[in-house]
Amino acid sequence: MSHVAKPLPDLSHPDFLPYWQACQESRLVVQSCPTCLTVRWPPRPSCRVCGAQAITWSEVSGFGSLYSWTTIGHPYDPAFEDEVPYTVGVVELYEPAGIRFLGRILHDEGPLTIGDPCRVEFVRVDVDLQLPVWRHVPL
Amino acid sequence: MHPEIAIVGVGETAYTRRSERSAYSLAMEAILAALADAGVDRTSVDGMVAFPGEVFPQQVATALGATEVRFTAQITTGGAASVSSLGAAAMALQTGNATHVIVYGARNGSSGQRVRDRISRLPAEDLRRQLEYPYGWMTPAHWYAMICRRHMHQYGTTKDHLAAVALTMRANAQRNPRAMMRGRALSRDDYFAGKMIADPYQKFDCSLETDGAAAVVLTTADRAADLRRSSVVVAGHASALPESADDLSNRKDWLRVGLSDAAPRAFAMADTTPEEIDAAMIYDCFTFELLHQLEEVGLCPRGQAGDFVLDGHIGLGGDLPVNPHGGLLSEAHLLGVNHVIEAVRQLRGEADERQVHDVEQVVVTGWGDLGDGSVAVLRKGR
Repeated sequence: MSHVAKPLPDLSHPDFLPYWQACQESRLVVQSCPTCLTVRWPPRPSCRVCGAQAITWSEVSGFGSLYSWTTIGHPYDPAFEDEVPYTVGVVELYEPAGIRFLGRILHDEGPLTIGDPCRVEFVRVDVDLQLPVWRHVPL
Repeated sequence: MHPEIAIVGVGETAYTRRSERSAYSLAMEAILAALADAGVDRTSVDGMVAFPGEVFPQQVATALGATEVRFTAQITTGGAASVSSLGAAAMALQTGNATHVIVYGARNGSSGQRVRDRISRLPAEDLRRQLEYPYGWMTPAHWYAMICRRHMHQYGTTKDHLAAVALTMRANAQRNPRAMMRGRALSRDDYFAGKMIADPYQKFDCSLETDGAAAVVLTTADRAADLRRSSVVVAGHASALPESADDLSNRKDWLRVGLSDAAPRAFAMADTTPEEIDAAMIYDCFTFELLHQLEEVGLCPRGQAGDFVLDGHIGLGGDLPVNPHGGLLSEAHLLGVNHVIEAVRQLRGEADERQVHDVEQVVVTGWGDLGDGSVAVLRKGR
């Protein structure tokens, strides 16, 4: 095990609080604008389409396709040295269209291909934190 | 009509891996060298554009004995600041807010800063800490590797294309006495044996870590006429943020970056076109980013930069020499200020054995953070 603490999210950050609370319940949520219904991710204080500052949160399915990825051999942060090589990717949700999440890609041996399906899973990191990760589902 | 702006002096320190010197000391050496090159008295400096973080204008002003500094700026677009700083300097000079402006960068890339210090200066640090760092996705190599993967997917770009960039930059460095990689040849086998950093990036896809400083001096063309050096005119300059500037993941088109929007404006300001460019200094923080920017600045159609490089067009004997100094990949990573300096030396005809023949116009790009872009067209002065 590495002796350097991994960087963890600030669970008390007001802009992200509902997100981390939902992750604790193994639910993936994104923001949307109650005025014009535009869905947005990551969290923003206002709507890029209509400018409204009200925020609602809604659950999304957690299925999508691989948009890009990299398998990292040199993490820079020594906290991740014991995990190399590891794969980080971006998954574009099927619904709502266009929303993309970054996260670890869990995959078996064999090639990853852009467009491959992925589904969200939650990995418990601490008593108050589950991190969403993405399971590669080979075609 | 705005007065024309000229670069009248350039200077740099030696580029090393471990200087054992402060960034302040390095900065002053480069700035004093640039002022001496220009023949501008150090107390005449009344404007400064600095990279954020290392050495503040207040420190430089005091060391220079410059008591009438009235314009200072720090541009927060990472490496794109190299070229955006020329634009900021030009605007200060054209409005009369300054008469002699220095642009400088200094860094202890290897001996001074640690990675966690460096990434704490990125835009949207909250977002990075919440949604990216916990997965171990932390550095430009990690981010841009994913952009490269998209380009490979969409256009068939390959590792052979990336290798051609690395080998060309290394070959160029062999003709540059300042290059950190002079005397260190790189073979194709060496390239493919490099440690995996972030697939598809291996060791030799990544730029160097450098201790050093570089500086340039700008003034108006009428003042430049009285100075000792033939001047280089800043004929056009532009900067832009990409769409979704602080979040790569949700950017609609990952290949469309700040440079894509900035380039047409810079060429229009210079009243020229990419076809009329004689050499290019491209911000080659990684091999693919050189290909990417060749396309987005308009020197090559989208998807074709890999073959363009593989076919030898960007080498010293090619029809569009790129980074004759060896670039960030093989000269030094001096934040792109070294690219501006190389453009000036080429336009003055002072590049010795790496001199590009008949060079009248050079384009210089800057790239930073998640795709912030800048570009300038520099032209031989009258």
